Amino acid sequence: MARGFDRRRRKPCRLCEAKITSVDYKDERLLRRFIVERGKIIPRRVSGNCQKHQRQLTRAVKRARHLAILPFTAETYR
Amino acid sequence: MRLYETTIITDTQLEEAETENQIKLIEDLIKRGGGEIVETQRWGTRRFAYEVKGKRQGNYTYFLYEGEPTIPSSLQDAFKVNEKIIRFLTVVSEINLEAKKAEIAARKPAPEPTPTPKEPENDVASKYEDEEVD
Repeated sequence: MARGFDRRRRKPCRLCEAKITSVDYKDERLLRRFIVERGKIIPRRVSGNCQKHQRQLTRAVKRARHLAILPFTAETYR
Repeated sequence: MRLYETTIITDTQLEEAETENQIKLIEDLIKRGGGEIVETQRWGTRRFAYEVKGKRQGNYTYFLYEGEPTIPSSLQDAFKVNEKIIRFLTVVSEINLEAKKAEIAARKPAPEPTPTPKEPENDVASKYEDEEVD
């Protein structure tokens, strides 16, 4: 591959693949896939999401947090 | 006119009648503001991801409605003074209204909820019995 290392292959956006037009804050199962155990949103660089979907995702996660569907942080972290 | 979604969380300690009453109140408020309710969904009791006002679970209700921007603000005023409502969230909906209405219309003709067949308790045993017959 061109430029640098071979491992720099672009990951496909999983939300594009799933043909999701708008990320829904009510869809807990979907959102859970894009947060770490601790509750943090997984960065685009890691998840491979496209810019558009990442923007929708962060917004959806934040809305879900407000409704206590998703955690802000893990409650008890041992 | 805009399409809005409002989700409220009420206390699970409330009696069912009182919860219903609260929902009615909100629906009235939407209608009085000139809005049109598309759908009201009861999500039932859900566990919180974190404690809210010292509680670990809440009763979720979701409203989808069309109306002028004055409605969400009037709802907000009502929610703020209402202690029975633990939390609320109003967003401009991205749902395709036409598709949603079609979906609701498609759901309507079959209002009879098919009673979930009660699994006999010795189901596992009966399955084994079947195998034995073989």
